[in-house]
Amino acid sequence: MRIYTLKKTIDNSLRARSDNQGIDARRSWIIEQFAALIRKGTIPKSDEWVQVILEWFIVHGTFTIKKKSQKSSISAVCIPPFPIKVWLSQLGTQIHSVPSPPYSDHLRRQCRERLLGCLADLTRLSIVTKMAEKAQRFTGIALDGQLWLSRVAEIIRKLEKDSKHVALLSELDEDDRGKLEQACGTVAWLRKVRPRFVLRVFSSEIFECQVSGDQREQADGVELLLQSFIIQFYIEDSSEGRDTASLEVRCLFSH
Amino acid sequence: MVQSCIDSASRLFQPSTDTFNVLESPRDDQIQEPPPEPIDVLVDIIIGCLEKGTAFMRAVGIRSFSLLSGVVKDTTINLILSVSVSTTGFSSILNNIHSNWNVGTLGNFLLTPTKKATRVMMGIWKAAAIATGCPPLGLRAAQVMSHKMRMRNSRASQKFPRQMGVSPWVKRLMKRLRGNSMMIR
Repeated sequence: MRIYTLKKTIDNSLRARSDNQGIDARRSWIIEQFAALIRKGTIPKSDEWVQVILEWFIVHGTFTIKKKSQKSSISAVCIPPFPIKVWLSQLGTQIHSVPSPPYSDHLRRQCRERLLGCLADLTRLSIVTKMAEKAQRFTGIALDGQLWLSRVAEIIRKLEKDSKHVALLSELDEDDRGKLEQACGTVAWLRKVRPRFVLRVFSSEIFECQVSGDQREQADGVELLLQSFIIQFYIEDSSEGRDTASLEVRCLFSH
Repeated sequence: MVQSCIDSASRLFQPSTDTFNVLESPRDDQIQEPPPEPIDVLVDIIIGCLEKGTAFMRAVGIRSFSLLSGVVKDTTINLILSVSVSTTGFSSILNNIHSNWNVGTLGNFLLTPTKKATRVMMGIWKAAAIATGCPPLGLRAAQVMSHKMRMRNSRASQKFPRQMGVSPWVKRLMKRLRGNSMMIR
């Protein structure tokens, strides 16, 4: 319900003024608010609403919504279930329709920037869970043990397949596409080689947990790098150019 | 870059590359020279991330380095130091190493007496010895070690008063190394 309240705020503010400039300003304000919610360390995070915000950033930053869907699992594309929908439409919100006027390029870039900023924050963020005797600290992952970056990459890829309802703003060329698929393949392969442990299962045997945890760590580290590249493929503006040239020089330089 | 990351990822987790390669990228032309250690390539990419300077890439780089620091090898430390030489300017680093402050600083980051930490610390000493060049390696390492002991004893040095010339991301990486070795125990 809290999520819908968030979205209600958005749409309410859209209703307040109808001229384009006012809408842009309000949308921009909302983007900042969302980013601030994630950045602020004192706000207790739950996976649910963090994911909703990330989805919202992704959908509005890298996709255009063609049509809202009843069944989509992505909240920003999904039409809410019946009672909430009625409640929201009484408030006169836009939640069941495609946002109009569409988001401007400036706002989209802002969404993308904030998304990367939020991911940086979430990657640094650690959660402390109480195990049998001692508290253990995990950094950069959601409660189910998945990296936040992996989750975002998954959402993007899921949305990309749903071409009926959303469309990717910038098409990738074949070269990038090939690299992307290869990177995704490697991530899947890594997971097969170093199976993922669910956080809750860790607690029982300390010795075993440490050994497997150590190997797992390295796989996580590599996966983090790969996922960041994947996300960059989608998110970075092609006009700004991916600054890979200097990195390639560096790679060659290593012995 | 992505390509090299993929390659080294598959090599890191698959010691026997000859038998089975998921990504079918056998390069026939470079049989003579052994390819660099996969962890070196990965750390190299991480350094690239850190140099890039967006908050996102820096967070990712630092986090993945602290995850990967369990498999860091001597050559990796070498690489980190050599890159820091090339970025901070030759004269300042030479200065640093001659006065041994740099080495002491790096060594002091790893005071926890762990197996892993000692291994990594040896790597740092060795790398520093190589960087200074002239004296034989063992002698140099011994010098560094004794200097380090002295540094540990003196109070002022524990606050690292002179950290000039070490570029910020090297410091950050070293901090990660220390953090990891403490965590693993």
